[in-house]
Parts: sequence; C-alpha cells; structure tokens
Amino acid sequence: MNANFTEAELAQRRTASRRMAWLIGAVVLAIYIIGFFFKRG
Amino acid sequence: MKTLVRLAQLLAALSPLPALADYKWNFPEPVTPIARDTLHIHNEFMLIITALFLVVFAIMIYSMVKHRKSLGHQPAKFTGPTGRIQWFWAFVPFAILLFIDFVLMGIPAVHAIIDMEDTKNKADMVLKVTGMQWKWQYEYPEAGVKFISTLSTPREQIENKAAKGEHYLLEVDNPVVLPVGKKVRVLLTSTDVIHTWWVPQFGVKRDAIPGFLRETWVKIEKPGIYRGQCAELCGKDHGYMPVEVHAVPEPEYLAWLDKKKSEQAAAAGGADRAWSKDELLAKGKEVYEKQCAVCHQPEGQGLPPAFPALKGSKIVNGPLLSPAGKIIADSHVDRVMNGKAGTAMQAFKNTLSDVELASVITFERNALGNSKGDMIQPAQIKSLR
Amino acid sequence: MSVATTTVPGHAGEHHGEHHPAGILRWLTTTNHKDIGTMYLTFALTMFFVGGAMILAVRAELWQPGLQLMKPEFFNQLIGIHALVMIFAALMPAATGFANWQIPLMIGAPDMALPRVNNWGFWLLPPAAILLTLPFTLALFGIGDGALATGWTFYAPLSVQGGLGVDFAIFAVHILGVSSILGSINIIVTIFNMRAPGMTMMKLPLFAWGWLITAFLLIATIPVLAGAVTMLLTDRHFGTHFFDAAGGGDPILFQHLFWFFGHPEVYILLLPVWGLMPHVLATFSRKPIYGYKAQVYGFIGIGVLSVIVWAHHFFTVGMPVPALIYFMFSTMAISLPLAVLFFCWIATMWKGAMSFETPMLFATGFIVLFGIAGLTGLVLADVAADAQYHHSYFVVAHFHYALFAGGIMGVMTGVYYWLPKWTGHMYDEKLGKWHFWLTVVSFNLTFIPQFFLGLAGMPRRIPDYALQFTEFNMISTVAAFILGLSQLLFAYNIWKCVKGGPKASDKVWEGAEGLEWQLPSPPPYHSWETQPVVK
Repeated sequence: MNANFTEAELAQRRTASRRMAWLIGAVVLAIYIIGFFFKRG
Repeated sequence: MKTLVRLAQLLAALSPLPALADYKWNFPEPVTPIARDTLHIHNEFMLIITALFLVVFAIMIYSMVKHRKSLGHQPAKFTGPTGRIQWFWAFVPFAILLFIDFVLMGIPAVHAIIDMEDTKNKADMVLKVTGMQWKWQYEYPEAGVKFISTLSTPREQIENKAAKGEHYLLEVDNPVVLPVGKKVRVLLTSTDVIHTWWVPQFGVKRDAIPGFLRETWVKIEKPGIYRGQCAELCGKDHGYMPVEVHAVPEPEYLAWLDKKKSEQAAAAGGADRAWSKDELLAKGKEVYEKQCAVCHQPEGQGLPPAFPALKGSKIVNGPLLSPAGKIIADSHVDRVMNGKAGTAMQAFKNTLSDVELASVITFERNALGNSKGDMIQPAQIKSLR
Repeated sequence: MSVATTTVPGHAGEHHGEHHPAGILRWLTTTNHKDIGTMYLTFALTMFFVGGAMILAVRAELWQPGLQLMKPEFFNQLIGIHALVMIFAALMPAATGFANWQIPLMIGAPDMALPRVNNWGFWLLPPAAILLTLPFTLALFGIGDGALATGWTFYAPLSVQGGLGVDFAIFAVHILGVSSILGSINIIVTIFNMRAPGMTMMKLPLFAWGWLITAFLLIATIPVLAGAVTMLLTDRHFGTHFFDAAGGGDPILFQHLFWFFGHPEVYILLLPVWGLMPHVLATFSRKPIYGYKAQVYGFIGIGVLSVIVWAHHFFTVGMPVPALIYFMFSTMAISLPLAVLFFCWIATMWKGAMSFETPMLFATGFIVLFGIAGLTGLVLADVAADAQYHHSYFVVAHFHYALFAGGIMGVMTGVYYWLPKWTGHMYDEKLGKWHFWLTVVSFNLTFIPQFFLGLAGMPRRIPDYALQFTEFNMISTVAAFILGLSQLLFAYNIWKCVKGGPKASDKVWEGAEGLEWQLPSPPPYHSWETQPVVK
C-alpha cells in the first residue's frame, strides 16, 4: 500500500509541473496577442 | 416524498389561479406569416420537450420511489451495459434524440429560417428604421417621408403621480403606419448604439447596428395596432422606446402618406422665412421637451457626469457662429448639429429639420436659466448643413 | 471555516509551509491547498450574498410597473454587476475552492503542484471584487456615474459610451482572468504530474476530469475575453476603432469575441458540477458509477463543441443563412453528449439502494431542474423561434435554470457532501432539508413565471414594464425574496457545522468510494504524506 513518492521523485514532478505551467502560460499569451490581429471579413 | 406531496397541495391552494385565468401563457396572436410559423414551431417544440421531460423523469422518479434503502432494495453492481441487447437499448434514446434534433426540429427550422431571411423577393415597399437613444426614426424612402417616434406616456405615470393608462409604456406620439397585405422590407440601422426592433405579434426581432444595414420583413395580414419595444439594452431609457405600428388598408395608408408629405413640406417651407424670437422660443420649448429633456432634464440641470447641464453651460453660453457666419468647432451649434463622438450626444442634423434645430438652439440659449439674448434663423441652419 | 486545519504531529515539519504564522498573516501567506480552498469557498459564499442582494433590489423595483425605488441608470448597473459577481466572484471561486480542497485528496497528492501560484490565484480575487463594486461607492461621493451599466456583456458601442464604471469592470475582468488562468494551470499540472502511483487517467475521479476540461476551456477562452476588453479599453481611451463602424471597425466583432469566451464559460461553470454529480449519486445509491468512460468522453465532447457554437447568443444581429443553419445545428448537437450524462446519472441511480440525505436531495433536484435548462436550450437553438425568445425573459429564465439550478445547486450539493469531511462534523440534516425544499420551491416560483413573461413579450433588462406583465412579476418578486432569505439557512448551517456538531466518521457516508474517504475527517494539514496506491 505504501509506495511513497521519494523526495527526489516529488521534486522531479514539481519541476515537470513548473515547466508545463510556463508552457501553458505562453500559449495563453499567444492566444491573447493573436486576438488583436483578428478582422471580421 | 410525503413532504413533496404536501407542498404541492399547499401551493395549489395558495396560487392565485383565478387572477391569472385570462392571462397570456403563450405568444400573442400572430399577424404575419412568419409569426404564425414561429408560433406553430414553438408549440410543436414545447410538446416535444415536455414529452421528453415527462418520460425521462418518470423513469428517474420510478427509480427514486422503488429503489430505496428504506424499502430494503439491494443495490445492483453494474457499471455499464452488458451484452448486445443492453447496448442496443442504451443507444436507442440517442437515436431518438438525434432524430428529434435534426429531423423533427431541424427540418421545419431550416425552412423557417430561409423564409425569414427572404427579405428581397417580391417586396412591395421599403421601411427604413433607425434606432437612436431612445427613440425610433421611420423613413419611407420611395415617398420621401421621414419622422421620429417617441414614447408618449406622460412622465407622471412613470413616476406614479398619475394613474397608468391602458397602453402604459407601449404608446408613441407618431406611430408608424403600414398597409395590410403588402410585403414590407424593413431596413434597420442605428446612429449610436445597438438597438433591437421587436414587435412580438410580427414574429421578427432584428438588431439595429450603427454603421451597418440589417434587414427583415413583415407582411401584416390583419388591420390593427401592434405594439413592441426595443429589446437590446441601449442605455438608461432602454425600457422607454416602444414601437407602435398601425396596420391599415392600402387606401387609408396612401391617404396618411399624403398627409405626412404635406406636413413635411409645410415644415420645410418654414425654413425660408424669417422667424420671430417668440415663435422660435415657443417651437424650441416643444422640441426641447421631446428631444433633449430625457438626458439634459426638463430644467436643463442635466445628469452629470454622463449628461452635462445646459443651465450655465460654457458651450451653450459661448459664441453662436464665427464672424464669417461659419460653425465654430465644439461650439453650441456644432454640438447640436454634429453631436459628440463616443457619447450619447447624437448628430441632430440627421433627424431634426432646420426649423427644429434653429428653434431649439435659440431656446437653449435663452431659457433654462441662460440668457444670451441672441438667436439663429432656420435659413442660417439650412446654409450650414 | 478555520477548523479544518489540524496538523498531524511529527509530519508538519517535513514539508514546505511548516510553521505557519498565526492570524491574518497565516491566511495571506498560506500555500496549503486546504487553507486556500477554504478561502475560495468563504469568498464565494460572501459574494453570493452580495450578488443576491443586488438582484433582490432589482426584483423589488420590478414588483409593479412604474419607477419606485431607483433610477433606470442604477437599475442597469445592478443587473450587470449582479451577473459578473455571481459568475466570476461566486460560482467560479466556489468551483475552484472545491478543486483545491478535493483534487489533491482524490488523486492522492500531498498538495497542489504549484502552491505559491495557488496563493496568488486566490489573493487576486478580493481586489478584483473591490474594483467591480467600488464605482457604486465612488458615485456616492460624486465621482463618476456608478458601475458598469451595460449588462455583463459589455456590448460595444454602449460600453464605449459608458462612464468610468466600464474601465473599472475591464480591469476587474483582467484580474479575474489572470486568477482563473493561474488556477487552471495549477489544476492541469497537478492532475498530470501528482497522481498517486497506479492512478491512470482512466482511473481519475470524474470530478477531476470535469475540472480538467474546465481548466482547458479557461486556458483557451479567457485570453480571448481579455483581448476583447483590452480592445474596448483602447477604443475608449486611445482612439482605436476596433468596434466603431465610422473608423472601419465593427460592433458585431465584439459580440463574436465576447461569446467565443461566453459560451464555453457556461460549461466552465457547469463541468465541475457535472464531475461531482456521479460521485454523489453513486454514494447515495450505494452502487458504482455507471458509464465512467462514456462520461469522460461526454465531457470532452461538450468541451470541444462548446467553442464552436458561440454565435447562437446573437442570432438577431442578422447573419447569412448558412451561418445561421450551422450555428443552429452545432448547438443542437450539444444535446447528445449532454444526454449521455443524463443517461449515466439516472442509470447510476437505477436499481441502487437510495437514501435521501441533503446532498442527494440537491443532486436529484439538480438533475430535474437542469433538465429544464437543457430542454429549453434545445428550443432556443432554433433560429426561427429564437427570434421570439431572444432578449426576452424566456432567456432569463432559461439561463437561471442552467446557472442557478445547474451551477449553484450543484455547488450546494458539493458543500453538503464534503462539509463533514472538511470539518470533521456532521451538518444539521433537518436544516439542510428545509434549505433544499425552500430553495427548490421558491426557485421555481421565481423563474417559471419568467418563462411566461418572455413568451408574452417582456424584454429583459427593463426597469419598468407594461401593465399586462404585472401579476407574473409580482409572483416572481415574492418568490425571489423567499429564495434569497432561504440562503441564510445555508450560511447558518455551514457556520454551525464548522463550529461543532456530531463527529463525522472517516468515510462519512455509508456508500462513499474514493481515496478522499480513506483520510481522517478532517484530513491532516498535509494530505497524503504517504502515497496511496491505486489498483
């Protein structure tokens, strides 16, 4: 039952989370900026 | 469940059903082909969704009554359909729903849309509707007739100082008149913000958008007076810009159109003669109360900051025209004629006649606590356009 | 709700956030998912009452024709701020509060993946709420002319014309948007990276699945809303003409951008609730969830469809016929995945051994009333009939069935279901049942008359109305006050439960399944010091 995350694995998962968070943040910014170039036909 | 039954009985006893007996539970009587179509579709859809609702929740309520722990029911263990027959029955409801969505409801809807958007075929006449804060302008381009229609319910009724009339908030000073049995192509636009022209008995609702032309059509089948309201939030008096349409037989319509034409000619003719100051002030008061008082208030005190006071206003008390007789930028005359972009102050040169403009400018400069003493003639306005 | 913070001695020192400071500083600096969840929920409950008070003032004005209590300008401010407060400051924070409390417990994680981001996500909310409502107060001191008066939809050019209330609302929306994005990022990365060993995506609790789709929808649509209101801001102050036809712009562009966000927003508010429902239904039917995979695919299907149907919110602007037909049919298509959910909910109850504690009452009430929202939504999708329904009280009634009966009653289900887990005490069952019945009856009495008002032709957002609409408005107003006052029972019941009450067991409910019920009630300050293994 107790297959603990080791401290190392936990740290690695947190790093992965941070990297992913920055990526999503960049996508958000991109959508925001692309929006300004929209024109209705 | 017992609580539910008891509550239902209590409600039935308390509900004021007699008072509602003659109340409208559905769309008002349709008077155009589109409205009839819409009512028909609506009734059909309501039956379909009521049936869906009853069937689905009858099953659920059956389960809630029967499969209770207190009745000693033992829980089953299944987590999905098992076997071909169960899978088949699991898909049946979705097949039915698919059929209802795209065939039973979808096909009549597509026909109705095509009919609704068919504004140009065999149109007998054009009515141009311009929404502006907070009134409608109607124009008959073929006849060259144009007028503004505003709420005629007295302020006292709205403020509960007088008994409310039968058509409270649904009555106007200049109703729009249309011939019965003719296909009228309605063009819509706006001078300021988005408004929506809606008469429930016509079954059409279309936005009036500044800078764009939208269209719809009506073919009224029955003479009568039809009332509606602006349906898009358009600022403070959104609730006070009704639509009143009088549908009459064609000869009556033509007679009305002729009368409007001669009235308009008389008003335009007045522009060429010189008006006395008293005449201008009397006329100006009339125009002010109809066009300006909603925002700038009857005494000219305004509703700052959105609607500035005219009483003691720098603009109103500024110079009238340049020495050469031209408009000074941001002067009183400029503001009234050309409006101010990005605010509720519209360009009144588009909607008011020379006489109306001259008189209201003269009035504002010499009343509402201002006393500039000067005046402007309709002929001057005409040359400034 | 400060009881739910028991620390497990001997463990507290091993992780971040160890010796947390006392008093206000503790709440300002906390990175604990339970503390933050509690703050989100408290904030949501507070704003629920603020938004409710606004709409009761509106209902009081609509008691009879004529202007009695307020000027039309003020009326317009109340309806718009009511909507923004209820959507952005009550429903969304409540759902995020649930996510913070429950997702780590349910997936076996020690905390959220990004605890400091989490803290920021919450503390952006109070300033945004202040920005939104401050113009009311400023107007009392003669500054500006009050709050946003365009309705919550900000339609240009009316919003270009408006006063400083519009600018305040634009900045409030920006801040709320940043907060939602931070919350969403955190939930996505937590679900992807912090699941207990053995918990595959297809073993993820449905509540987490619902939130995952919500988070992706927020990521996709909030930037569009932010862009739209930024364009509005530059139109207002820097002379751009995005939405001004005279400068080559288009007012309808704003509506497209707004509803590209606005329609998914409906599902953003509802998906967490849809995720929660099967848990509650399974618990009180003492039976496993029916159609887990079907529900997951249903969520994904609705998420995808939600971003391609936006124009059904403005059929009356006049669109080309093919566009009308496309948006009509794509909107109707949403009924299919939604029907999958209804099917699974009812099948979960079928042949169970049901008991009707307060959470189950709210869940079944939710299914029936949300059914009405779905079915009326189906007819609203029809363009021809929509011409008559649009901008009328029919629509007002429809979306209150979706967002009050669907959203808020769903949140109440969750609160009653999880409160014993969070506080370690049982709530007052009798009071909960009273709250349910009062809410359901008065809710229906408030909004059923509005369906008929809409059919009879009463436009929405008007402060005064024609005489023929009087009776139904009176019923609606009386019922709305009962509905509003019944919610005080809810607040009192929560308060009572936080303060004390019978001890709740770890499992709380006889039929409860899932990791969160293996922890003590209330759970320790750091949940899952030891990771559970999911088989």
